[in-house]
Amino acid sequence: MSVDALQTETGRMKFRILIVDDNENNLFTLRTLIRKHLEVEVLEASSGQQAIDIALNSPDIDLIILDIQMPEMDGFQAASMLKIRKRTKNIPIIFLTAAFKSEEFQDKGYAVGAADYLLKPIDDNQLIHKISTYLRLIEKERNLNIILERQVAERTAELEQARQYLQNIINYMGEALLVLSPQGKIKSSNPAAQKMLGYKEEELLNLSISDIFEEEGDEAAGAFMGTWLEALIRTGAMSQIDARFIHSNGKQIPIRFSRSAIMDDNEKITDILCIAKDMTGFTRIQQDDDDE
Amino acid sequence: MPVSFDTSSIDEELIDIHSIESVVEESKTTAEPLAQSKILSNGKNRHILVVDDDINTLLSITPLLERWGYRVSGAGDGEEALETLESEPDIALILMDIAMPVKDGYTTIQQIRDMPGISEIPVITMSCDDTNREHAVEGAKDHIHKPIDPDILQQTIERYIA
Repeated sequence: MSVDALQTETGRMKFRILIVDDNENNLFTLRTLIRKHLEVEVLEASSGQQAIDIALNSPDIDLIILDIQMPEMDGFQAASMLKIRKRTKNIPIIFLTAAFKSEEFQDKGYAVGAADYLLKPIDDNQLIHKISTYLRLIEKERNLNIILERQVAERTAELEQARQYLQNIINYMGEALLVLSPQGKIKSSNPAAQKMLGYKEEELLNLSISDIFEEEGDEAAGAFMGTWLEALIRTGAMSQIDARFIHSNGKQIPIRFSRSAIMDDNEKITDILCIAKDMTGFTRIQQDDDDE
Repeated sequence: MPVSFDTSSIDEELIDIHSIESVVEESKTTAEPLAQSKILSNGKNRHILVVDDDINTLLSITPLLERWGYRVSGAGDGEEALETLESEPDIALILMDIAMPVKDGYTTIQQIRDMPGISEIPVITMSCDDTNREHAVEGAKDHIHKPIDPDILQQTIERYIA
């Protein structure tokens, strides 16, 4: 009884085993043996049905030790029912039987998904050794999962850091950046573009490039994009093009810009990048140079 | 004696229903049909979800389906069925009891219809009460009367998954 008191005081143990047998004496013997040698919580079921109910409702069971000869639902049936349920299918099952000893039954036990098939009478030490081997494997797997989860978390943080770094470059660069669809609709913009054009980020979304952009000898917008695409497909990128942005207040801003295409694996253009530099100040600097 | 298979030599695409039947037929005479069906059930369209709160239905249907070469997942109510569908992307057909606690068959079928990716999985309802029949077919492909006749079960399943 003092052992029982200790069990409840320590709360959740490291491992939880479900033992299943319709014979009360067998349950008592097995429970006593396990508790004497191993620090585990022992749950008990006296039928296959009860074993399934307990296993479904206590999702953190580590190991099931299952008798085979039971009335109504036998151990094979109980095991097959546990193996088809999402919540219980990964719990290792050890069959422990005094009756079903033939090779045929052992094969059947493994076929329904058992991890082990033990025959009674079995030496106490041997049984405890088997159980503790499984628990050690389970613990190893748990630790591996913890390490894996930690690595995934670290990797996620690294990726987020890299993403933030790139985002900062885009946010703080002095040039205006516009990402266009192949049809010439604005998909995204950076703060410099929003400032230069006098629009909020969401206002720029889905505006057409022809709404904010003017080039020398520019024709209709459709033909304009067509020429762009053709040129992009031919050359991949174009730079140092002089043109004008149209500010939301209608004012024209001289720019020098470059455009390049992002292509997918099939060399189909998915995005067009436009980077524009405000040339309003540049002309004045040039004048200053001339003055000297 | 169990028959051992070299799985590497089995091209899953080449296994058609007739070859499975012939192997299953053969296996009935051997001591170990389960080990074989486990190998055969790796192919496409071989995974069936059975949903019933009565464990006896699962107990009686599961060995039949496994013998016919299907892989079986089970669930005791609609909630568990939805959980299973989300974690098992290769389920090709659902056998669903109508009267269940927590979440009944009607509600579950309606929710399946709204779930992207799994809304197209054929559902066959099962019930003892034939008055459910007309109603159950809404959202479900077919209906099987309980107690289930193995021949009818097999024919009905094969109507929806090849």
